[in-house]
Amino acid sequence: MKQPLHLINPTVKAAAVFCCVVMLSFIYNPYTPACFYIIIVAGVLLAAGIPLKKWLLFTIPFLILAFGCVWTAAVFGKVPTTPDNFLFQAGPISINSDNVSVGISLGFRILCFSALSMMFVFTTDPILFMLSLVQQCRLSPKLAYGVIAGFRFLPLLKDEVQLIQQAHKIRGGAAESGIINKISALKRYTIPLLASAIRKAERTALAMESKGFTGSRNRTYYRTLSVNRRDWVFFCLVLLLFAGSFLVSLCFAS
Amino acid sequence: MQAFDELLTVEQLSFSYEEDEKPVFQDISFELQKGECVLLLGPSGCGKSSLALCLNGLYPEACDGIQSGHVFLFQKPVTDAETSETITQHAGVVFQDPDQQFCMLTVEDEIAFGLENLQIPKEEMTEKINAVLEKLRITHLKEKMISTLSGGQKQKVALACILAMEPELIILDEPTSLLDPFSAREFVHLMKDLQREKGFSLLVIEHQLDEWAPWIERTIVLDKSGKKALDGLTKNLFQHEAETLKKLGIAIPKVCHLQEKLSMPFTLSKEMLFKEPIPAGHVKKKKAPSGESVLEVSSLSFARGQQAIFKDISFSLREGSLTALVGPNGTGKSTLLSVLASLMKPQSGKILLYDQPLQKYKEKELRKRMGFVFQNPEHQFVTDTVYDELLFGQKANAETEKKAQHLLQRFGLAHLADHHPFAISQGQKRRLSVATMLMHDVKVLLLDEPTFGQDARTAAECMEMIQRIKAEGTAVLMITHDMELVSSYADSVLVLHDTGLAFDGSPAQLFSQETGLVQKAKLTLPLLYEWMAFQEEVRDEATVTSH
Repeated sequence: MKQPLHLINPTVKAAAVFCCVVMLSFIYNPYTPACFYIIIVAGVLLAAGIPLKKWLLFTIPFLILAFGCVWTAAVFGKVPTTPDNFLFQAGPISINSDNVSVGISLGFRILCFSALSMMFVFTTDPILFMLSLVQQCRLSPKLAYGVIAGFRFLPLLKDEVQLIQQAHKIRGGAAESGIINKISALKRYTIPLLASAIRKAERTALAMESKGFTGSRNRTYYRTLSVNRRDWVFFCLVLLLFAGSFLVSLCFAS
Repeated sequence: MQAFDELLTVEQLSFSYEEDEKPVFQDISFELQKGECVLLLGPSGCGKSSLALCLNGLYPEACDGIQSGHVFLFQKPVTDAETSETITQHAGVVFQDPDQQFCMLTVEDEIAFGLENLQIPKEEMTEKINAVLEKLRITHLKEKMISTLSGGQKQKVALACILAMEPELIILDEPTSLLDPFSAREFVHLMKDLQREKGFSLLVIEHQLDEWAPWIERTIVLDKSGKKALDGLTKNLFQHEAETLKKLGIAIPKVCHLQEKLSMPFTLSKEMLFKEPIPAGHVKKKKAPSGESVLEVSSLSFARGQQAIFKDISFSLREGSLTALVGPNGTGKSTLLSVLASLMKPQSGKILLYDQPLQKYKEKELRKRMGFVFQNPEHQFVTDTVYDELLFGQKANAETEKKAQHLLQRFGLAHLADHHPFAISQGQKRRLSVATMLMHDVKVLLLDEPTFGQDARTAAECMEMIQRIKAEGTAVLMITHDMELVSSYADSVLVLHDTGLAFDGSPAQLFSQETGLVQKAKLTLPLLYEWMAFQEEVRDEATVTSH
């Protein structure tokens, strides 16, 4: 599972993603995001070893969202249709190229955001990410280890909801059909769920403290994460690729 | 070392959560020598766990409680700034629930977590982690995710985390109560060997004493109000103060019960007891349940995804009988109960309630005939008061109200009628959850570990209650890890092992047969049967040598 992208320092990876997202937000032409999207997908599929099927599956909802964007911009766009930019007639609405171009730009921006996020999520161990934030960004260990401990609870929470559902079904009388019943069921689940969540959190906190955790920065690390040359190369590479996509757009625009 | 033999001194320690509230425990004084082992006993809710947390300095800060009196570690008060920083290093705790004492995902990270807090350099850490894993013989678990481990393994990991920090005092807060009997016994033996080898002090809080009492010399007992009631040699307490202990709701080791009829010197060690012949009339024959079959299960299978949880299971539950369902942790006992209660759909197989398949029943009808008490009773509470809890889903009329009142009386909950169900004690919650099931005229009652986490008295009350329900003609099926309970209360026993039903018969049959099933299914023999097996072995050896 150790593909090149997995080995990049998580903080550097997150910073690269963040930079790209910010820069993309200031670009309104459709060529840069489109080109950049192709680069990301190619890069991720080659250097992260993510199965194509998994990637596509997670892309579907974003594709729908992106298409919605294109459609909305094309139909409700502000630019009036003139003979110069007229594309085609969809029923009573005439579609023009200016609006479509805005839509495509927005659509690809969404796809880029999704691809960057997926690249980060699929190739980063969340624990290492938190540890890296502590070690590289001086995030408070109190917060970081709290998040890590909370992360363990997620699957437990799902089991717990299921158990409560079953337990309430046993009590009978509480049919869960109809919106009003569903809302009242939700209310009934909340108290036991909260009660047990609070208890769990308290116990885990006690266990952490009893192992000498004080939340202070005075600690050593079993897994030390550092930023080395490879990470800087990655960061610069990402920026270069983005700059490249921007240049492509200049070519097309002229 | 002469002057520093005293590890821990507690002087008139009292503690309460809120200013004007009555204290959880009060006026407790004792001393603990270096290398000494102590059992800390007391009824549920007497503040044992809170005391443990005060000793290692987590309380009162962690919960803003009010504490008076003093705790000294190496003759320095733990409230000292310097001491309080390092106290957790000197006193480590293993908690009860294996799922709620870890904060990292893998075993090595979890052990490293404690060492990181102590600011041990990275190079030494690897060494220490490997050494402690080796010591507990769990090296193969090093890189495993903690969530994939069994309960017994998790508790060993919890112990490894503490041991790696090399504390002078280890506090165990009911470490085995969630484990199957075999893993529990294994844990205690491991603890004993480690203590002998490393010489740390040990403070054990526990309800099940059979394994601990023989080797922990000293016992401190708290009473209901959290005052120190007794403090002395374990052996003396169980020999001379047994009546007081019983009144306090403390379990007397089974060994003491069994030797009552023998004129031998008092002992807590079962090995000593086993040398004596078994007195006549101790083995009671139970009649096989003869009632009519209420629930009929045939070739039931269930799978989660690709993984089969159980396959091709058939048995029946009879009117007025108590059936125990036993097996190692994680074999799907709870899942089987859920399938029987029609909360999950089986993959194949049939379940007949009074000769009618479960699916034929309307949801409401089914729930009226079949009760289910979950392991955590809180899950089942849906209203805001104890009284409403009983009336939930009932027609509001004089008759049901009378029935509810009657049940409140019967289960000793009448004075709590207006309380919130979440705000009563564990034992009361359990009784309430059973009472809610009895509002209907249930024919089948399924119970998931009804005696878990309760002291001897509440556990006995719970079993008595089940006996009465059974006497009224209900078929009861109960999951339990307590083999003594199985042997003294159950009419028949089902062993779930390795996705199949490995045994269906009477407890006496299960415990006296020599197929090795008891070991395989991670059960233990009740003491009486262990005694019989021991004597059998001696007899066999004698015949071998005489030939």
